[in-house]
Amino acid sequence: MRKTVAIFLGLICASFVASDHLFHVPENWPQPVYDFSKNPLTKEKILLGRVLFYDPILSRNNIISCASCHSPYSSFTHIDHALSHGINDSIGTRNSPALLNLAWSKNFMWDGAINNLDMQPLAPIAHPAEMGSSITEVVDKLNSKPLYRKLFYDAFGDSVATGEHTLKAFSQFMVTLVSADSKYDKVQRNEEQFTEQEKNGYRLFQKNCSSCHAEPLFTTNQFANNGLSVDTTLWDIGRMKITQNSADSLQFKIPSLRNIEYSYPYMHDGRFKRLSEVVNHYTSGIIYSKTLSPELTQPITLTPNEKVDLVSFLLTLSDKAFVFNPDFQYPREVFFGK
Amino acid sequence: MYLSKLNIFKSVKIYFHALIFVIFRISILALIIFFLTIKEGFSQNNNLTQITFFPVYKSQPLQLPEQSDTFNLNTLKFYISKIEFLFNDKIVYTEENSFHLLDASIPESMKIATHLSKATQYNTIRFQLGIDSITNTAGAMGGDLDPTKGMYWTWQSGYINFKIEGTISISTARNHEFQFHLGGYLAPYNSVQVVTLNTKEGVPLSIYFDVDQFFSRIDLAKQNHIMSPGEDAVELSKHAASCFYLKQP
Repeated sequence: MRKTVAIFLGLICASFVASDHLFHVPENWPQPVYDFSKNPLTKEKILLGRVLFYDPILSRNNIISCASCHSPYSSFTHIDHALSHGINDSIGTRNSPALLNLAWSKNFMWDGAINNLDMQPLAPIAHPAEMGSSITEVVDKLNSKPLYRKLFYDAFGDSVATGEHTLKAFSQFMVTLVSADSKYDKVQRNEEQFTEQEKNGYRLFQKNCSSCHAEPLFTTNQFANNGLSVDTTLWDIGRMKITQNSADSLQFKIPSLRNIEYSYPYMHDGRFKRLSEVVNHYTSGIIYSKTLSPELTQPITLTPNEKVDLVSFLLTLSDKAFVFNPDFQYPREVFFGK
Repeated sequence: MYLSKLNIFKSVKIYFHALIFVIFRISILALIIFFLTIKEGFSQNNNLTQITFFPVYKSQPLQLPEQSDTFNLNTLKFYISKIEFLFNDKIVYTEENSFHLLDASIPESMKIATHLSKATQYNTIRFQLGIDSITNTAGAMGGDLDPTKGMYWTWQSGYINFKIEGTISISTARNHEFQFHLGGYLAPYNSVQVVTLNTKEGVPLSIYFDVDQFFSRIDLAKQNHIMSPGEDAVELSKHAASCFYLKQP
């Protein structure tokens, strides 16, 4: 009896250690928003989520996977494409965002349309210009594949895929995409030092940018109108589409600047290809409108040298270990065996 | 001497194994009986209150798909949640984990088995039409709340509380279609509604949804679809909630 109790307690402790191993909050970071108690991490569930992420079975014609627009090597976005691409050569209306530190995000999409990470995959799966399918169709397809019967059994103790389990597995993989090992992070941990130029860029960043792109996540996760001219081919009103409140007109989610070097082009419609264009927008491109972010009503002035310094700081947010992390890559061994 | 000792050991061992085997069998049998009784208890318990919902069209029970020359009803699905029974304004029963997807094309789904004993006195039943805002933001859930049930929006998070689809001759939409997907949890367009119905005790609980009355407020020639949260969805949700009634004998 004692032995059983001891083994049981041991297992409970081991499970805590294991889940701690699978996800940890970097030093001096806030607590994540994602509710892990409703979806405790396990190795098997994370693997299932990763397999689903890379499997084009999610799209109606079995061609588009999540990774089609969220490639690990570009910090999980689609570089070189201003607007995202989907099935049958369709083109969407917004730029696919980089995926990182999602456990700290309260809502998702450029307009915050999605209120919980679990529900995020439903949108691209069903969008006619992305995967053109439905979660019901996807779950049916998964249930017809022996591979998934095994993966679901390993993960949930039930070989039958459900919408709930599919979405929870996705979240498991997505929350593990933590980027906290850039040069900036190493400087914070006193493992490396900024160059003089980066140091000056950091000072300029803190003075001009950090009210919206707050450290350590480099976003407040709020919405703001950053003074972009309205693209009259898209007429995208941003957050207002969701809240139907005119005070939210032209407001978009403030993106994290982490891995910004890898995730071009920039802005919700991918209008800027280079970081220098982004910086020039903030110094000389702001369009005034009623909902313009109050922080941008006073012009930001930077000399050409200061602009270069600022960009050199932004490049310290690149996390090579993140983009090449083998745990995040295409699970070849699952699809094709070892 | 050694031999006899060994034999004793051997026979004790055999008895022991046999004993374990018997205990094992008995316990399995006990478990089977236990589960059978539980199952029977659930399926045949006449002491618990059951609620049955019936859609009604032109004073007649509605069978889906309902088809006539002028009116086809293909879909009628809605969420009933947070079921409570009251006696003189005091709550006597609150259903736990109370989320039910009712689909008029699946008669079984229109019955809700509560755990309320028939001995408990009540004179009011209260429930919500739709899903509350906290559940709407709580992430992926299973059972009737599983998004594969087709009652969850994809382009924007949130449950569809009430869905009615079909064709009607006066609709000016393509193929005379009408589609009303009512939902939305964000203030000020939270569309979940509370329905309160008074009843007499001892009456089998049959709750009717009057499809005629639902359409009486809609000018289908002008308005034949609502597919997103907003003012219209809230207004029509309030109206839908008013179309439930209890038939008193």
